[in-house]
Amino acid sequence: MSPRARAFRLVSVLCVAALLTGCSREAPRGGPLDVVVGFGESGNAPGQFGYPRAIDRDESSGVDTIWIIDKLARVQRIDAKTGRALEAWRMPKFNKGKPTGVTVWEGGARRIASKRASEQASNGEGQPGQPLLFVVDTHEHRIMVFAIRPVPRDGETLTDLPPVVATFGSYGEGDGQMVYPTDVCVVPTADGTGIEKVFVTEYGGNDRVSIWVPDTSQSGASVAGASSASRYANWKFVRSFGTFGDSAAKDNVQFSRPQTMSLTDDGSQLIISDACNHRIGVFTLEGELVRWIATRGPGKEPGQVSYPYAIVPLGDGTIMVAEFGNNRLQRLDLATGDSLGIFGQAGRAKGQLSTPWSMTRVGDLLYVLDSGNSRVVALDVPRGRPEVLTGSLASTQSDAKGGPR
Amino acid sequence: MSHSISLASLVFGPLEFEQPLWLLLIPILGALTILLARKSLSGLMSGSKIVAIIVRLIVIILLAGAMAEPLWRKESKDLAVIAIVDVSESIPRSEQRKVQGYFEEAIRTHKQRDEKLGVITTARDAFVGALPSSLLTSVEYAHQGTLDATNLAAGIRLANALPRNAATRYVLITDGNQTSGDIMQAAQTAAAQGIPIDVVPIRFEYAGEVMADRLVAPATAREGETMNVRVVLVASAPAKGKLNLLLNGQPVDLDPDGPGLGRDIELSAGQRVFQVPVTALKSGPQEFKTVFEPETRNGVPVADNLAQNNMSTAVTFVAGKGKVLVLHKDGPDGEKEARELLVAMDEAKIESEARPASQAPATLTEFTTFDAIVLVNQSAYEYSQKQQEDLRQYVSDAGGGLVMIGGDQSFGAGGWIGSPLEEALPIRLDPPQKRQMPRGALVLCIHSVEMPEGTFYGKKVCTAAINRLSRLDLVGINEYRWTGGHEWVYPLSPVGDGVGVKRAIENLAFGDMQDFTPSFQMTLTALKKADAGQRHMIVISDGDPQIPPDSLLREFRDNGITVSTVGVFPHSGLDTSRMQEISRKTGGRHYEVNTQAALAKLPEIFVKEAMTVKRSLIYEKPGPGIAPSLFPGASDALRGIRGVPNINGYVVTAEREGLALVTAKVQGADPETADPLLAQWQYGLGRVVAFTSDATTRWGGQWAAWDGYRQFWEQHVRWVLRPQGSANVRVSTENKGDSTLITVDALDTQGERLSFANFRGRLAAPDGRGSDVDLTQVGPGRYQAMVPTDQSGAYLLNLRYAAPDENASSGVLEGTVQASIARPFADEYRVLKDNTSILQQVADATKGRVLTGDPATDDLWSREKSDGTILEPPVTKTPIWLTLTVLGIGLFVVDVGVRRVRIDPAMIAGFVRRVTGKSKAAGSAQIGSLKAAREQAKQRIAERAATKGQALSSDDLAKQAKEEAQRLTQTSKAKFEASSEQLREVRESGGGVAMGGADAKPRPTQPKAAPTDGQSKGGPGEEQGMNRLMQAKKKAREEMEDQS
Repeated sequence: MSPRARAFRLVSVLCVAALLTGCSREAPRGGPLDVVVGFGESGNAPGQFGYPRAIDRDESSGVDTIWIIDKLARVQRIDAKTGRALEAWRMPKFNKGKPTGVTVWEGGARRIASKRASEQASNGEGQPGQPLLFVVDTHEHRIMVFAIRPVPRDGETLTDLPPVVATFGSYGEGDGQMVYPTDVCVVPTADGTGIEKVFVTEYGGNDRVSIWVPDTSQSGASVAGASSASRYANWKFVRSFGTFGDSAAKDNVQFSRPQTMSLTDDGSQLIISDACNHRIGVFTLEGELVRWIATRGPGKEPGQVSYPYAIVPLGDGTIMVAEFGNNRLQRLDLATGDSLGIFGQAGRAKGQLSTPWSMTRVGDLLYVLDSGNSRVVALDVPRGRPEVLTGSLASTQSDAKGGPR
Repeated sequence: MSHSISLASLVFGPLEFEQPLWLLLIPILGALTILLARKSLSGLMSGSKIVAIIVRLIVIILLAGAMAEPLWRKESKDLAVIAIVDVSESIPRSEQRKVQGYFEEAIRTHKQRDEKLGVITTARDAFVGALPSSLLTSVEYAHQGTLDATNLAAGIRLANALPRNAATRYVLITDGNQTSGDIMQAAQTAAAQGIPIDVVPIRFEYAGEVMADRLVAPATAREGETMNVRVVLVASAPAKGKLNLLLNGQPVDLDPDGPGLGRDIELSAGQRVFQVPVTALKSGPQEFKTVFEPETRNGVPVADNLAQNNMSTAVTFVAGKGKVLVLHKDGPDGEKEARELLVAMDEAKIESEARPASQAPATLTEFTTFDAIVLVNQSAYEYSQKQQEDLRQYVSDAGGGLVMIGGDQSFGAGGWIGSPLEEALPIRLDPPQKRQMPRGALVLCIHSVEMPEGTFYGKKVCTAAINRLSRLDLVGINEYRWTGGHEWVYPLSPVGDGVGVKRAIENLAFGDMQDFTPSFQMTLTALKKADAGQRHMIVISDGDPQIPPDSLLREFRDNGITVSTVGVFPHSGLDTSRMQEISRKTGGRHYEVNTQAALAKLPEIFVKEAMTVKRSLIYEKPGPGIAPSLFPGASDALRGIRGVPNINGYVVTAEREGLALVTAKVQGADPETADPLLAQWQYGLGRVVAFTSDATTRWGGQWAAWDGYRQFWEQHVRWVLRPQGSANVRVSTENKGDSTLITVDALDTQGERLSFANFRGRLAAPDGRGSDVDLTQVGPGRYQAMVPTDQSGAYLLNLRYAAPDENASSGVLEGTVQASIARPFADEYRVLKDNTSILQQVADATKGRVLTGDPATDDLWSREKSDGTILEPPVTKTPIWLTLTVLGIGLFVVDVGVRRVRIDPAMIAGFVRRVTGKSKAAGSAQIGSLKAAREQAKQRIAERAATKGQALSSDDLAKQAKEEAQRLTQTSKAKFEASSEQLREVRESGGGVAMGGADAKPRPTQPKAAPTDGQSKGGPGEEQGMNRLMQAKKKAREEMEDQS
């Protein structure tokens, strides 16, 4: 064999090997999403949405479902696989404005199930509690807590209002009041079967995070159909942290529209997206700032975010951020803020996004609320750790999908 | 491609050929190919021959197929039902509620999960309620148009226009009473598309109904005359009730003896006429309105269902003395501004009435009560868009006069630029481009997405504001765009001809702004750089974006930039106060829009705000002021006036091309150009005067003391005054369906029939639009015209005439005459019973069904037409001629290859194996034998040399080895006949993979690869080799020629 032919063969073999093993793992740099599941269209029938703005997963009934709230003030429970509406009802009041946040407390069911499986425990640890739905009734300046009902029979869609467990908050800037609440984040008790406290973010000039705890001192508030939920019938304001502004100082925590919150994978820290300051904050569960990440925004470059509206921790020290302003998702290293990949691009076509407001994770799928397109798209949760994404996106924005090249 | 070849398209499985005649080429050329191939391919082996013929046939099929314009058909399997629902008011409410229940039940019982439902609602116009979707579980309709007419054809046409991606059928739910459009014609268009229309007739009959069929009043009357007003009532069953008559909104006492004003009446089935004598107490148009109030029992009318048809109107023109309306600003200052003028008119014996702008006439009819209107320092935002339009129409169509007197809030500085009234003025309000003067800079920040009809109003307010700016002013529009964040839709730049900025307005994306700050920052940066006298920003929002920090607002104030905020449906008092704060901190104003009615006023707010930057149009010079230059004698209005006093200020305007006459100018703002001060012209039927300074002490201090003041204004007002109506001309109107016949009988001063008169007429419709009326003489002194009157309401007719008359003092008889045409309630309200027979025809024409209206039995999602045929699914067709052409051309190359190159499957397999690296050593048997021969030769030569005792150089050794090998190769039984020379030939001509069995490896047999020295060249052995080579080459060429 001539040296040229040998060299040619060697190169070919190396290329094939590289293709097969994917040894040079490169982070995605935008382009259309690989949509695994997609449903929803614009309209006001069950299963249709009118600019949906909040989503959260609910596996409390053993079925993968998601709750979605749209700008028509409709709350829908959707089968995560088929997109069929299991429940569709309207908020009791919406003339001033519509809710923009939803958080599901699965009653500790998942925690208990996993504990039992691992420890084979049968020491009478608590039964799963009543699953709860926290609806952030932004323009009514309050949080409404509903009891989550079992999934209805096949083919049925519940349209009546579920039992209301609690309502807390009123308009104002004082203790126990809120201007425009945006999100609720539930902190479970140590054993995972109850709620220790909830954080509530708000904006509107009094941008801050309030801490509320279940008020068990006021007993006797039994709720029809949700007796175990009675311990969550009353809520007490404890304190708040943060003020309106853009300070990055540790001793002066300031927010401009804290839009969403999430606990870290181990539940030890609180992640807050400071949307109008275009950054993400990591806090202790006591409300102390640990660090700000992605602080170079707004911008389109890797590591910059524009109106981060949703955060989902991916279980490996990284988070996925949905960027309202950039119409994309970005995976960030929670410790450094380094960009580990950009997913999606602006548009109306399949795999493209328009002003994504919210996001949730169901199993191995990441459900993104593609608000401007009134639909839900799900993609595989990215695995493995690609290299850090740096440099300009200018040349790669129009590329289809990243991956080995 | 020739279009003369055509035939109906041919469908062949998923393929369709639009020009199938071209396919005839396949058998013709196919037969020809086979015939020719028998001869031309005789040199090929039988296998290759068959392959070559097949390839050629395929090429012919592909190319002929491409010529036949092939389309790839994809049929949809879905089924969609589009419900076309008649929501007009002729259908009783109770029936309409049933329609929704019908669909809900039908969806539950018959709809399969994937089947779709779409909704179209129709009344006067049709709207899409929901696009076809499989998710609809109920029919909700939010019809946006008026319900006083039924246009079923519009519903069908709209359904036809919807994108079709499923087999479709329509379900038409209606009472069959159409008042406009032609349903049968529309049904034909659906039938042509293969769409059946199923009909669900809504059956009803009003047992009792009373209609105020007509109100008849004379078209014209004289002041003090007693007119007979006739009310015609039609009842379908005996009924009781109260009859009321209103004159200009005030009730006329029909029951002088009783306590009430209305008269109790009893009706039997049929028509009944009531006559009411009414005395015309004042001049101008008098509007009569009759209302029948049916007797009620427990709050429900007895023997009457529709309230809309209980009312009828008529207008009578009562001739009187000329009268002028002076409109001034509200408040004592406003009154003061008009006082001097009113005194002057009083002295001149011109009857006048002064009113503040807030009490200005609201309708054209009311404007027509006056013979001239004088606007004293009035700004446009004090008048609604309709009032401005009415005022324009008052001049152009009703022949009224208009005097516009300036002031600090008038003309361009009063927001009249771009208003409907600007058209009527004898000057242009926008100063010329070359003018050097301070300009305004306005930035609009648009966040209207959250309000009702946000995109509509967002565009409308931008247009309203920009229309009021002059071409030199700077304007910028920014918003939040979901694709790019906070952006300038139109960067701060001069308005110019307005085309660019209006195009930008159309491109507004109406993103949901989350934070005001970036938009405010952009605005501040741009306005700071702007070379402008007045700098202003207007923000429209629901108030929920994040507010800008105080530091930023302070910068606005420090730079003299004001910000006005318009809060539209704010979510709470907090949003309001936050927006208020922004305007307060920057010195702007705040507006609150919280109702649907207030929404309509949004453009006016923007007009008012845009005027903020228009202050720059005012030019003031205190002290002695500026001396105007007058052009006396140019106009009758300046008769006897030789000069006018100085003025201290005016609003800068420009001359208008055309028939406008500028009678006075001032040299003020610009040393090079004089600006119009006084101008006049005839606009339509009326006359207009504009005076750009004011009539008060602010700018006209020296005027009040001027002895020509009264004469000046008297002559100008008299010049515009509408000529008095004439008793010699009578107008009558007769309603003929959707049109009205106007008849004019004219007499001259002697009472003789007036012929050859020149009539100029305008008809003002209830919606504010005007049209010309052409009268034709049909007999001595009689003139007629037919005008369309398809809207309900009062039409105003104004005629101006001129005819030669020897007896008239001026030799010309001229005057104006007015009349009205009253069109009663819409035909929709005359319907007392369904009209289902037409629905049967629609179903028959489209192969649809007449459904029962029972959701349990009506299977809406049926795939069958009434004649048993199956619904045609829509087919998407993709042209594929290019693909076929490319394939054909590609195969053509293969065809050449088949003939030129012999393909040996075994060799290909061997090659593939080698490339994949599986059989590295497995060369062909020949190469093995060649190598072996070479080795053998080497060995033999070495042996020979050894025996001879010669020491051979390696070159010699190689040369000898080669010769030996050649000898051996020729004698060995090689698999094929190609010699090494042939191999080289092929290789040099680019054939990498060559004839059977050989590949790139057998270098040892290549003469080129064998190193030769100079000595060996031309040697006898070599010569022999060359000859052989030439022979072999010749033979190969002959063979190849044979093949081709």
